[in-house]
Amino acid sequence: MSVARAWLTEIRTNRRERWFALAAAAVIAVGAAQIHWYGFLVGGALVGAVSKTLSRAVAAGLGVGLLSWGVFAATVAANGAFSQYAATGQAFGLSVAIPVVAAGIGSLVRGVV
Amino acid sequence: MDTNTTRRALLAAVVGGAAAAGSLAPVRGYLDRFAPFTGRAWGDATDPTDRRVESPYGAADVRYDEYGTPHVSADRERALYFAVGYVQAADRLFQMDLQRRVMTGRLSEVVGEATVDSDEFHVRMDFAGGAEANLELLEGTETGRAVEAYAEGVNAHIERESLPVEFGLLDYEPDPWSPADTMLMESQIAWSLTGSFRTLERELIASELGPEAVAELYPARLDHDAPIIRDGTGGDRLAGRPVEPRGEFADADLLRWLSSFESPRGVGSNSWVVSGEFTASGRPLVANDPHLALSAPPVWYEMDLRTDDLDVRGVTFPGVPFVVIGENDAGAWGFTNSGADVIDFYTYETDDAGERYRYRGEWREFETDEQTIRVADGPDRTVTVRKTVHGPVIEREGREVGVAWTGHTATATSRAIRGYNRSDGIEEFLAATRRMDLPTQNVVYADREGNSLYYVTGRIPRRTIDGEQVRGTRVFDGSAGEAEWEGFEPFGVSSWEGFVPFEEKPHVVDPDYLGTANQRIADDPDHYIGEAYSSPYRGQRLYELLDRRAASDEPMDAEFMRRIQRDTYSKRAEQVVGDLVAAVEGREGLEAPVGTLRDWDCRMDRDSRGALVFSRWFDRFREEAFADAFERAGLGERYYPNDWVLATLPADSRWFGEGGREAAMVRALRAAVADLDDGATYGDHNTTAAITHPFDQSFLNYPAYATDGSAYTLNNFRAESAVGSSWRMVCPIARDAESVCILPGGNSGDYFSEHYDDQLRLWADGEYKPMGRDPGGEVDVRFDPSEGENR
Repeated sequence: MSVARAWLTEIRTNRRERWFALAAAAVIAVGAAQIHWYGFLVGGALVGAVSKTLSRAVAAGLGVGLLSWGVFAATVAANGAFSQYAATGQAFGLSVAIPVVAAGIGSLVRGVV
Repeated sequence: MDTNTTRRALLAAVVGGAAAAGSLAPVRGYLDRFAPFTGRAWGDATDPTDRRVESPYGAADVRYDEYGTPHVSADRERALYFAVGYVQAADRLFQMDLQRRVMTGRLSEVVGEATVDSDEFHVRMDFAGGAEANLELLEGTETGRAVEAYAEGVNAHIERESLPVEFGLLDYEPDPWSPADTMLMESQIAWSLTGSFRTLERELIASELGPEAVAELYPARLDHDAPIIRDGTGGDRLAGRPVEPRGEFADADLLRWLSSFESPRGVGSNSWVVSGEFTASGRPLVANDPHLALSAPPVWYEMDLRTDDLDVRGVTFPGVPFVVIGENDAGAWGFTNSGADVIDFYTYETDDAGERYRYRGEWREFETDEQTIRVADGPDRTVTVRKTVHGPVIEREGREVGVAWTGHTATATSRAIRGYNRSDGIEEFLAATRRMDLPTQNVVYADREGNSLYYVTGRIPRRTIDGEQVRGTRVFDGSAGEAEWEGFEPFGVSSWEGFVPFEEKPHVVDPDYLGTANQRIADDPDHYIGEAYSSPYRGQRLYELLDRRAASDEPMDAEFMRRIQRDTYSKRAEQVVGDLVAAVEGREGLEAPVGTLRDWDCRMDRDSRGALVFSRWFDRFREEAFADAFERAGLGERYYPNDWVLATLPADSRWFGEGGREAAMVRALRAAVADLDDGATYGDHNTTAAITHPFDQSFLNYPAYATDGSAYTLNNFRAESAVGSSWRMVCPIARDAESVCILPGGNSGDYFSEHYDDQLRLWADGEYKPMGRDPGGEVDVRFDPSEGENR
């Protein structure tokens, strides 16, 4: 067993470390998404990788996608533009779906590593 | 291979495939545009304008008031215009870029095949060439330097700030702004006010319906007694020998194509000036509401500019640094379209190869230029632009016609507008008016000393045939040099010596009061001005209200000015509704609409049933009169004569068909009421939903608010064509009185701004807001001198 796998296994089995890793991965996801939309995929992969099971990984991936969108929506709201943003119809829908779907797909990495 | 390995491979393929798909079109396009944080559509939603900006021209401050109007102050003029460029780009960058693309024929580059026709027209007309000529005339002038500083301000914004949502949706970035682009904006405005193919239309109508129909339906003068200048003789003399359409240039396909690119029908305006003798304050009053195409965002941009020697506020067209309509510390001014004829058309004898044209007895090569129209997602097009001594040649469907338009030569209009901004009274205002080469407008002005002025601006061509002045009402023989304009140099600098001298253009100094509503300027002008005057309904009503008040004991004030702008009384209805009621009285099945019309007060109010019945009836009445004959001739609705002509046709006119006018009125009313819902009122249809964004995205359009007014009322709104009061302004020149104004929408074109449509409800309800005084308080954007400043 490689060092990385041993480390991952420890995080996955240790509740406190797992939650810490999930939180760190979520922060990284939101930060990476500021630079490129691949950040949602990477963020999903990170939270997935440290999750206990594949099903939890997917839930965490979707969660981090929603969290990312929530941070974005809060930024828009802070700029006084949430109602306008919400009224953009399909564009609004896409902006919700992109982080959730991308992070959800990224979380499937849990089934690989 | 075991199940676990297979599952891993499958999941790895899903993740890897998703990652790879994200880098491929069209998925990547959606992600690049709509992903949170980085999506180009959301830049303006998350990124407020920077509060500190470096300026190479020196310090300036910007404060926004509660309606998003920027109040820009600076020590130096160029620092001011750099800041103006910055704030205009912040609020209207997409609109500016769109108009620039339209005028240069580069719309298809980002929109695709749908706009190739538009691009071809604009490339053939070479508006860009006219703008370049303008710029040459400005070189080395203070106005030219102001325009350069403005362009740099726009570019500083493009470099530093996020782009509006439209750029994200269309997935492109704007090119840097140049002073030539500002000149293009002026060309665009001038074209939208004076670009008309009316002469070609008359030729087509003469060909299809005969010259008698042209004389009957399109008279050179409408028989009314409310011209702008009312001290004329009232006689029938018309300046310039009539030249009738010969029907020799008649091509419906060419005209159908061209009609998309001329100024919208119904473009017009109201303005009036009242001397202090008739006002409560003893100072003059100025009011103006230009009726232009209404859109989201509005065509006008409000701003308030101040330096040590400049204090001006009002509106401009985005892309133009100077206040076009407004007031300064000395006076106030406004414009309406004068209807002057500043465009002519020519045919030529050409050689078999189409490379040369005959001109005054010799063969000349067409000046040609190959231009490429780039098309997004489609093949590019190549257009050969051809020009003659008169100007560009428009070609389509195997027909060609030469065009001479005053906007194709260098004009000093920018210097005139800057002069208006800086004028310290009537003398300087008059001097600036002398410089205004284009567009041809009615300008009204009043200063704080109590002086007032009306003048027709712009260069007006004189045409002569055999030494005699003629009107520009038919296509001329370009090969013979017939009726051409002396002193006109297309795409160069004109000397203008053959044009109507400034002193001989219609004008009035210190009128008691004077009203303009695009009606005939004068009964007996010295020179032919034009024939494209509006039907006189608004002009009649304006003078009726002013005359009545002037004759009363009650002096005029700003509130009275606002009431005039909101006036919904229809002189068109007054003209015909009595005859209509008489014609339909007692007819079976029409009792209800007859009762409605009989009790109606002729006001086009939103809650009026009568206004709805009447407006629908008149549409049908027009069809009753003209639809069959025009359709047989292959002529659409746009060729119908104006409603004044219809309303004054004799009762037994052939156009009404069997039974004459009375029977046509009855048939029209039956057809109109068949389409009306029970209980519906005018405001159910007359709404701001007509005011849309040029982009096909519903969220960018304005909300629907019911409103008042019609094409024929002073409160001007025509839902069917989205034309109406594009800016309402009332300026009491008295020192302590506050000017008021309103835009049909909002001052910001940034969809995410709270000022995108915050004036729309007020506008729809006929209300006003204060006009542009600096609110004080915290600076919103501060421009700091950059290193190397002092340019």
